[in-house]
Amino acid sequence: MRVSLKLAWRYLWGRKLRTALTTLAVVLGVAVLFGMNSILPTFLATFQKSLLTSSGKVDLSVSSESGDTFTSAVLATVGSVAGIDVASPSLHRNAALPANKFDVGQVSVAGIDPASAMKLHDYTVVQGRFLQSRDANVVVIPKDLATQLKVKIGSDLTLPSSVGTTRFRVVGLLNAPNVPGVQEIYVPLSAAQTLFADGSNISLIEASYRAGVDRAQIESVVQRKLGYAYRLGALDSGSTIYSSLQVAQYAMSVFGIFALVMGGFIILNTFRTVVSERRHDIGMLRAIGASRGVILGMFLVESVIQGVLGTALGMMLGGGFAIWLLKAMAPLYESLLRVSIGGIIFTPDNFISAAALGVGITIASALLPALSASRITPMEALRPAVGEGAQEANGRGAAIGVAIVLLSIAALLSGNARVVGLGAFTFLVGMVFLAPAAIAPVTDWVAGVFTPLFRGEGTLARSNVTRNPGRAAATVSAIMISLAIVLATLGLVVSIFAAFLGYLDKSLGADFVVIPQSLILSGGNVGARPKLLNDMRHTPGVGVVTSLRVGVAKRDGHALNVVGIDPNTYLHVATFEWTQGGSDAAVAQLAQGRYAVVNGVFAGQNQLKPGDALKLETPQGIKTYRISGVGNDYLNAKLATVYISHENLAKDFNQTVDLLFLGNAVPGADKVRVQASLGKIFAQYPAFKLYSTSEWRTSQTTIFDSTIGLFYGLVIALALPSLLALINTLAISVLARTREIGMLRAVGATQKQIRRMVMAESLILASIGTIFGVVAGIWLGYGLTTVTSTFAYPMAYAFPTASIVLVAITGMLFGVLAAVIPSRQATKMDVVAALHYE
Amino acid sequence: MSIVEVRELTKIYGTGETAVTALDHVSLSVEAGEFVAVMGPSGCGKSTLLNLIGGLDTPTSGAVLIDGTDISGMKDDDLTMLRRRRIGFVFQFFNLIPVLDATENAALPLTLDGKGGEASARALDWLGKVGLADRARNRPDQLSGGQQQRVAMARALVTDPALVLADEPTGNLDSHSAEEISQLLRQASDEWGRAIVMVTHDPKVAMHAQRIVLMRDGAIVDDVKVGGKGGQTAIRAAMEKAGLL
Repeated sequence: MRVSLKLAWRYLWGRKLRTALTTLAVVLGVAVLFGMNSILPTFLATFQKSLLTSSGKVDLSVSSESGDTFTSAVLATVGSVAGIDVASPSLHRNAALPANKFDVGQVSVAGIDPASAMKLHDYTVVQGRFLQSRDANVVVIPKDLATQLKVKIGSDLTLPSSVGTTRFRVVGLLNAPNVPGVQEIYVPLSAAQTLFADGSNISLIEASYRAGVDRAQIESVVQRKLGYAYRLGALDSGSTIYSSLQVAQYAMSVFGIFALVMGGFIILNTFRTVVSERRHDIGMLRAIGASRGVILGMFLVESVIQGVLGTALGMMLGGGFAIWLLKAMAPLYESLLRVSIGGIIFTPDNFISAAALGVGITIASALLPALSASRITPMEALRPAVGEGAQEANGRGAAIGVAIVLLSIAALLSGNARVVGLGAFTFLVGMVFLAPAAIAPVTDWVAGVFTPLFRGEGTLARSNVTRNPGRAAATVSAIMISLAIVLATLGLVVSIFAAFLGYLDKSLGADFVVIPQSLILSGGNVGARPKLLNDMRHTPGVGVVTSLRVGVAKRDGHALNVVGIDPNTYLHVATFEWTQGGSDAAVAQLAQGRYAVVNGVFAGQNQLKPGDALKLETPQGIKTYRISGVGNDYLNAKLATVYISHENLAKDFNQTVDLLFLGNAVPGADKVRVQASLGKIFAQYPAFKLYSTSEWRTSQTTIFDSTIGLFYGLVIALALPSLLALINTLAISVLARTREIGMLRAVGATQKQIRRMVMAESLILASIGTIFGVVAGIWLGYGLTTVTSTFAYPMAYAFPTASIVLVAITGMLFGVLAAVIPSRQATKMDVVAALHYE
Repeated sequence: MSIVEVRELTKIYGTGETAVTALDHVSLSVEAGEFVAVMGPSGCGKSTLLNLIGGLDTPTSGAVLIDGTDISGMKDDDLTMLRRRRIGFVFQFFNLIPVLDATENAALPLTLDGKGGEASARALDWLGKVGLADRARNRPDQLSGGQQQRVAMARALVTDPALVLADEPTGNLDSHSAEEISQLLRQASDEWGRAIVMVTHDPKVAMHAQRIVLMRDGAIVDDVKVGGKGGQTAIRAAMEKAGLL
């Protein structure tokens, strides 16, 4: 072992460039995997915190079904349930602020018990202090609200109360609103109870669980003890937002694994070449008594060192990238979604999986070449070195490749979404098998383009590429896989966004959109009583207005968004994108009993079709709805959603507050003036934001554009390993032909000609890789889009012309860049030494 | 007792019509401390003979005995141990590990044998004996061809093997270095008591041996003792007979 270790270390140290390039392949793979898996949990935690319970430490919230206050005796009941760690009471009420005095019309007053609340929430005080147990009429408010209200520490804030007004002394400023979209201020619970004349009532209990408890069991015990007059809000792992973010996490992990597999591919290729380079050394070692184990051990030790080093550096790079990205995106999320992104989360799972995959794939990739090295006979040491001769491609591999590609084509033509998607992946695999045999004919064709540019050197380059089809194919495959993934990802993302904007244009036929500050229709938003809808309808110039309401049902133990729409008005201002033969009649049917429209995500996840029965667990018990249609709207496109009528939502879910409004101006009305009139109404409702549809579209496009920006970052991370593969192959190919290059120089080739020869070789390889990659990428993108379209939201494949151009330019640029170091290596050779090189 | 005993050794490469007989029933014995040069035209089977003696290749038929032990049927691991401990090798192309220095290269067989503690001292000792004490820490690319081959000699001798096999050890050297290596091989035989079997094309190098075995078409055609009166003439006649001159 010691000898293997010593030799491995010396070879790594003695071949620094090679070592660096191989290790870099591991670094990039691990960085993508680790970075993405760090970003996603942070987003998950942020959304969990913001949207459902407003704090990561709250495991359970209890409120009355009616939304009214309830006796504080319930606190003791909840607190007595085994497994509950902390239970904190609070009273939440909206308070209108005198319009003539402040820009802000309304705030949400939270009366809390500071001692228990602080165990559940992180209140970040930026100035002053937080509430204390003995406090009376004091208030802590968000910093930006203080700016809007023009108050500071020590100022008084006058709130309307049951006795007229009550003055509260501002004692502390908080960093950000804890609940997105809601300007919440905090006062002691007793002060709030007095303020609103609520006696000793409360409106919310938040609780946390002890570690390791059965969450579902606690929930059911609490529900049983309190009865169905109380609603339990808990973030269960099956909730739709959670699962949709988890899907994103899986997708990102897949990217990371792809990057690592590509890294593995490069490592395999590198080790294969290293073994052939060291053939004589290995033969000599075997001749003087090195066992096969020593040779195997030497290569495995090299791979372990590179794997560990690459993984450690990859984690640092990925972690740093994640921190930078979150910082860069935080302002965007804060301004658009009013969600403050928390600190980065590095989970132990992430460390373990990145380390296992990084080191594991490196070792696995080195294993085959190492085994073949250990089989080199000592005779090799005695055999005189010969130049690199032409090798034949493996016929059996080609036959397998052709068979797989043919199957993929059959899959593409099958019309079945799952098969089409699978076929796109198998096509990539087939191309990897086929590549060695395809190298020679494709090179002839591609070189035909380059020969006029590179003259005689082009011909030499062509023969250099084709003489070792295995090595050329590995390089081409690495480029193909990375560019294909990049193009497929861009194709899918572009298609999704194009479809979303299409939905937006189609489904939002409205002139105005009024949405809560927080974008996603779910818990956590402050709703409006019917008065607001009435006020809107009576605003001069306003035509049809419809509202959306939200309830939460349970199905198979998972939370599910139930959106209430008004069947009479909805289709005047919005539309559904129907699938499975649905039509607008499905909406009218909602008014005729327990009927529901479900969206594509929900139908896909649950294999449902029109006419099927849908059992929903509602606060009134289990109710059976019949599906009248499957359709998508823009706002809920990403989440599994069920649409029912307002009437049923009130009856079964006790929900009568409006969360979102869509409205039209009457024909011929001045929309700007109408919007201004509506704006006056919404000044009293800070929880809502009024947009014209075009403003709303622009805000959405901004989010899409910035998301696409994020994808370009990913694209770079995914494409870089292929550049390394190309550099590696060229460097090795130059090294293998040292004597030959010496001969060319001896018979009169200039340094420039040698450089051009290497450049031409690089461009030929890059071109073939790019051509294969573009074909495979379009196919893969089409496959992914088809699958997504069938099982999630319907969309057409948007042909990614711009992305293809980008990918092609990237491929060719890589071709030029990759040639720089190897061509220097070739031109700097001492002719005499090169002629005697072994 | 003979260090090397070769009995009716035959090696056939390929089968059927493409079969080539590289060695055809060759028998030979080499005594302890004897320096034998094997000569013959290209393709006569001299390297094949050396490979079979060194346990690098397996014979089609016949036997090779090293120190009385038949190695023909040995398994790979046993052959590896034999080469590591009892045979030293010198190759035409030096075959040093480029990333190790002279001492580390010379110490390799001992290091492989787990004798790391003494390896360095013994390697340095042997480097001194071959005249390279001052280049002990140089890597192969910092040494001339002659110096590299001396490192290879030190590596071959470091385990105190009874037998050293040298395949064209001067084939890649200038005449001055070739002379030095030839003298070193002779010294290994005369002073240090090693049996040397050397394959060479060069008659000048062969003249350093005590005995010259001449081969043609896979068979030994002559076996001549060098030295004494008329030795030169006898070798000349034998080489002419073997078609070397």
